[in-house]
Amino acid sequence: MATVELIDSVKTTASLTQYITFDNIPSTYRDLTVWGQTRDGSQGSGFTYLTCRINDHSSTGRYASTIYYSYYSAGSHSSYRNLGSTSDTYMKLGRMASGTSVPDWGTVGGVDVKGGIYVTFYNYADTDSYTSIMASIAGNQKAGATIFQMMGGRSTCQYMHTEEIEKIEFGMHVDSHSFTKDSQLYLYGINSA
Amino acid sequence: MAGACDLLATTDTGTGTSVTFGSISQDYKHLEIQAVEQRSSSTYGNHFAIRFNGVTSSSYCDSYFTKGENSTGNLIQSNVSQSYGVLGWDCFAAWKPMKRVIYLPNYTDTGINKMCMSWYVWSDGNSSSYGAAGWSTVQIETNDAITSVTLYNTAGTSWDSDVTQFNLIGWGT
Repeated sequence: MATVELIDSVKTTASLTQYITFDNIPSTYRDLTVWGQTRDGSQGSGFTYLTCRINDHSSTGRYASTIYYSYYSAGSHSSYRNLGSTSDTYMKLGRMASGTSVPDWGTVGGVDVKGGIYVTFYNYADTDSYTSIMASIAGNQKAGATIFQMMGGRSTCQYMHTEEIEKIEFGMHVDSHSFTKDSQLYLYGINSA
Repeated sequence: MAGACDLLATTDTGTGTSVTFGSISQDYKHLEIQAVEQRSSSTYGNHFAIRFNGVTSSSYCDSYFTKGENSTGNLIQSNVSQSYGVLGWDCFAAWKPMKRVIYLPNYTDTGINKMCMSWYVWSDGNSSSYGAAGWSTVQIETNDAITSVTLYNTAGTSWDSDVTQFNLIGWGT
């Protein structure tokens, strides 16, 4: 029977936090799954990449990402993109919620609007193969606004190294932005039968 | 006692057109819904929709993407003011099962909005007429914890009771 355990959770307390990091991840599970909700604290910034670095590697040749997403922004109707790269120094998990004081997103009507995150790292401790990652990321939205932004998408990624994953640093490495207060991530370990 | 991952409920829809998970335990952090559904008749233009806490006001936003569907190819839809959230298209053809997974993080948190992400896929067998996969995003603008989730198809097409089933899973501690 498969088992699941909560390894760690983080809820940011500062007004801005650059990275949310899980370190010293035990190698005793088969897969890792991360749940949560976060928002970019930069005013008016849209379509910010949610990214991660693994084991502190910041060089190219370690990360491959392909993102598909749909969005609706500022009255411009639907569109979609697919963006792939193998030359980044981070892994692109998707486009995340953003903005703080822009009237139509961020904190609106007393509701602190944050985007959703669900990411799975498969066979992260396997030293014979690269690690595959799948992510579902949702952006922020504002009901009925004249200026609004909404998006959802899927990303497939690969950590191109055979070492086990011991540290995952979530951030916005592309733009060097920070998470807003009360951004939350939960790290679960999953064992197979 | 809430575990790290527990099956909270399994719902057999019968031949109905909607299912509701009510009185959802507040002892977990996140909810996952896994679904296998099948129609007993063919109806085109079905949306698969979700409502939280029975809210019917225009406080939902959604965005979804479908790849496939024969001649329609890529299909993207979005809305920012409606009385339910659209989780993408529902399977058009009768007797062809489709599968869905819905992720709802932080459903008990009263300090932030509620957002869910979903995957879906179906195939019309080897007819090459209608087969598709896609994802969707739905938000409800509320600070309230989620205590009930209703899933339904907007065309009112009945489910096949022999196949259709929804499972509610809680991720916690």
